Amino acid sequence: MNHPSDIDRVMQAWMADGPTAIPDRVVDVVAARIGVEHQRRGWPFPWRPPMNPLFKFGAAAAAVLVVAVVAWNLLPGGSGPGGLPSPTPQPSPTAAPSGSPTATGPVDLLDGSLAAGQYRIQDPSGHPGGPTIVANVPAGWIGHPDVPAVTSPAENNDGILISFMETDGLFKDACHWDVDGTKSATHGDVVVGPTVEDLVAALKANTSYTSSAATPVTLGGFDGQQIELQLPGSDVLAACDRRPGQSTGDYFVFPNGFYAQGPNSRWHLYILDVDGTRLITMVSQAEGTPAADITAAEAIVASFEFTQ
Amino acid sequence: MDRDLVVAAQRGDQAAFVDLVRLHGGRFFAIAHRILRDVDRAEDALQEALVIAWRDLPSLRDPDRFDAWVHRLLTNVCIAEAGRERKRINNLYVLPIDDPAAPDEFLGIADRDQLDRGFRRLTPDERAILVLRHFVGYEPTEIAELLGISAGTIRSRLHHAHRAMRAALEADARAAVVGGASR
Repeated sequence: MNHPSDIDRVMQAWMADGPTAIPDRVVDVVAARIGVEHQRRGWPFPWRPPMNPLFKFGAAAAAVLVVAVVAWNLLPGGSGPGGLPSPTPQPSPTAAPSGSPTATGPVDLLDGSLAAGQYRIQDPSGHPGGPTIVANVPAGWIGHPDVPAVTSPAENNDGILISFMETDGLFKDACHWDVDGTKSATHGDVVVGPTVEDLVAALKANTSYTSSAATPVTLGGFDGQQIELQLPGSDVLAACDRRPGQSTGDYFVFPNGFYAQGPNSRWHLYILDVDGTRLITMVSQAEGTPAADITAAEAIVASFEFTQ
Repeated sequence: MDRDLVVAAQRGDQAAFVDLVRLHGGRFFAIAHRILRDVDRAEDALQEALVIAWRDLPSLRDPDRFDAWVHRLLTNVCIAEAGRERKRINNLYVLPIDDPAAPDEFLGIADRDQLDRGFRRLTPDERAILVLRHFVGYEPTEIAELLGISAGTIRSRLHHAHRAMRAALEADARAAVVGGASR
């Protein structure tokens, strides 16, 4: 029993024994469970690591402090700088349940199909205390507050993804990004300086993808640069490093951040300095993205307003 | 046909997904059962994997790879389940055999028992790799692609698993010889 073919034959014979039909009860349970389980949108979203608990604690402490200061200022005869004026009635849209939103004013981004309206995109940089974006989103676009991101209503992956991140590095080779052997893509091998210009220069210098000329842009009163990246097709992606469990390669431009959403993705990057935060907004489109979606995405980005 | 069902299911058609489960579920269940060697646990793992498959189906880029994609999800769920199982007391179960293999003179009942014991001593990864290799018929490179592990690692684990299974059988043979001499 020492020849390899012997053990092959043994294993095959042994494994031939056993059930080969799915029990009806399994089918029944699965049918019932998918009836209440929502499908995830077909986007391989950019991702970032969970928030550091210390940041969460710091953010919570800051929020408590803000509430305390505001309450103190509102006290009758409070010694705040002139006190605060009486609160002006504001539109108080109620966050509608996912799938049937009725937003008419700035509300926190909802999960699922959106009504036309203004939405607050919290924490787009991934760091508490950073800017919040308010954007006008047309009806039918889909909100993903956990990412955060907004996607077009396309039925397939030919839609548009608008998402956000902050970074201090890049991958020199976006296809072979597993530079530390951890398959986690958390550490880039190109360190980028702190300014908008530093990042634009690093993107332009990278030969892993094709970049356009960078041009100035102003969004919500903050200046920056915009640049387009043309990412490679499926022939290149197939040979790229893979995260554990992935059946196809991943193409990471940024550590801990955006990767190609499919073959021949085109990214329009808006890189702004928002009060000291170098915020990147990515608009990712596919080869077949409808022109109407591209126009709508441009309008969403043009509507950005920033608050702290 | 399958592709149409997959595309329909990707768009939220629950009936299409259930049709896919009925079409492919037997094979999926067989894989789960071979890895876990326990009907109840195989059912649980398969249910879990299929619900994950439904939830994440829109992200499947190539509908023609549905089968392999579910194999990956299912294998990962089974590996996790087997990891939990190792911490529990062995739960031997009398298995209903829907499609019993033809009588095989090559393996006796004692051999099968020894193989079962040897298999349960393997790591969950090694179990899964053996099943993907010998039951599903994947090549090591395909298993590597499926599990996101290098082909070299797959070959190494396969080699170790084969050696362990051979040792299980040989231990049985030695026991029989010793037992015979003592009489």
